[in-house]
Amino acid sequence: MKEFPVFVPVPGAHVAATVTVPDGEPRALIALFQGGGGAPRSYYNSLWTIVSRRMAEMGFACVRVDWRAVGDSTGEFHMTMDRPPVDDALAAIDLAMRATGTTRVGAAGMCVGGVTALGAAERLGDACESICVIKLLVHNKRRVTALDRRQKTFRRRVLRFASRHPQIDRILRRYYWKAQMQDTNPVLQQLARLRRQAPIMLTGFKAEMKLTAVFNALQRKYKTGPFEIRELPLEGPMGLQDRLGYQRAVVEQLAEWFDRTLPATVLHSNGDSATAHAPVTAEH
Amino acid sequence: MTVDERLLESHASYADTDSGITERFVSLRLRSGHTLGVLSAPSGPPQPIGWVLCHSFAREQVDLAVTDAVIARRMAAAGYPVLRFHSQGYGDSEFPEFHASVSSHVADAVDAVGALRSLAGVERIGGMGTKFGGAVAALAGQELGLNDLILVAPVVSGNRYMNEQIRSLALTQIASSAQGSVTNAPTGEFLRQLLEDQGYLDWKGLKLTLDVVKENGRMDLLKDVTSFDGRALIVQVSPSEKPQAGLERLATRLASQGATVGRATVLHRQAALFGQKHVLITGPASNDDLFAQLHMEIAEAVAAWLDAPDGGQGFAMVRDAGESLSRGRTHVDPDAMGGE
Repeated sequence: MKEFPVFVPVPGAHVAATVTVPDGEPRALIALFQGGGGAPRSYYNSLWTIVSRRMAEMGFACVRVDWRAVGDSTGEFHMTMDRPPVDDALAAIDLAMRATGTTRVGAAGMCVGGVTALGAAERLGDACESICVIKLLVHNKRRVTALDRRQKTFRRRVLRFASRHPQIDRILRRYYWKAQMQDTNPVLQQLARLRRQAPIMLTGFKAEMKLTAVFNALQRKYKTGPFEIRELPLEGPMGLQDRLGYQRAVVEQLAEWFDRTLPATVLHSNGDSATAHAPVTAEH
Repeated sequence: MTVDERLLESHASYADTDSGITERFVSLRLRSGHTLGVLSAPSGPPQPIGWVLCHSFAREQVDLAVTDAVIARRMAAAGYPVLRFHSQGYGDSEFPEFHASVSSHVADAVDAVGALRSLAGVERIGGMGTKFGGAVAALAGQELGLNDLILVAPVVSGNRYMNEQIRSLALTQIASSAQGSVTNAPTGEFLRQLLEDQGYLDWKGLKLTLDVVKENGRMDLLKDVTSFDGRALIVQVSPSEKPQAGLERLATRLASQGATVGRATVLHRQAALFGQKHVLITGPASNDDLFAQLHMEIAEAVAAWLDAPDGGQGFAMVRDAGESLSRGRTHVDPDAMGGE
């Protein structure tokens, strides 16, 4: 295993990245993206460093990136939920693909990094064969913050009433999901599109798993294949949660997921198997 | 196809013609293992002094990384080669799960000084760092007999610092509890007791061991730095110009040893959060860096001291970083300050 720190030139800046390569030819490239809260490419407590070294043991190359004005990157950090830093992510992926000779990519990200992973996967097209999003952020323009929860009291009353009357509940739910899909959830629509392209694993804490209903609705609406949904452990009372265990679970889940969805050999339609790493093309 | 290592190695550096600096990733072989560093250097002829920049402890290493990078680049623009690096147990070091303590930080800094001598071709090396990194730089300077120190908001008492770290974990959890309508958040005393009982604390995913807490707690710059007679800059980061007692005592202590001590104060209303997560929610889907201006003001204070005549004799400066948010540095963190 070797690690190569690089400065990737992007318009107006250089983003720092670390490319980890395994001994021998890489079976695929895994891109790891942290959130937009100021964590560098190694992520908090070097989580991404640990993940990429583990992946290298399994034969994967990895690339992880400092967003602009974070870590060792230069420039100004312009990022909003509507415009995650997909271009910078793709610039780093492109360099890593050219250097490692891989044509298969897996993308994983946390929070805004997850949204970035989805954006990068969409732009990569068929080259991106596996996606994992940890702590999916569903951008809802009408998102309710902790401070204005009280304003939802009326809605809660309605929902309680509806829960006792299944027909009303059904109508309300239909209206709700329609509004969600049409108005507020481009990420969900993006997920539905990408699910046709590559397997997607969504993982998060138990409290966030209420989104499971959203994914089930997506599958029904867009007739996509199932999403793989996993729960990350975060046990213990508030303040004493087992974050060490949570980090270990992230490492294990990512390793297991990409090992399964990006196998070392691919099966062609004629039944022949071949090694996954095709020679790099001029386009790359 | 084998990996094109030359392509990757050709991207290990960049040149910024606007600021007149180059930055290059360097692989460092320390006694504790391999690690990664960044050498910021002037494009033109360098000054005869190089600087080793020591990072802070635990999560502060992440939250002060931008501060360190901004200072390093400003110093390089002023002509000084600066090496910042990951101590063992951090970032891209060989053993990221190593339990770093003040002694391992200092040992790595000592090794980095030797590395910078060969990398930059300079004989005279200064030590610098922010918060806990400032203490590390001072202790490494003591060990090596360095003559130049830049200490930005340095930790003076290790015991007080570790107590603050543990208390900050409790405060974070109290804030989380308030959001989640949970009232049984642990107190600092409870966490202390837990640390004693189980031998470690799960400090936001970092295994903070009792041994490390005890070792760091024994650190006391007022006692441990006994023979520094070079020049030093002490930067205070605070909401007011009122001198902080700990830094006053440190300045007096260094001066009594024959050192030339310059003082700078950088003002920011949220200075109490310096070293913590500095991303602030400013909209439903956008965040700002609370300290973007503060980083630049600290770097400017350092550059002014480097440029001061007579080795900074009598140097004193106050810079106001205000509290305005830099509109250019926007982060997304919809999960409030606890976002990833």
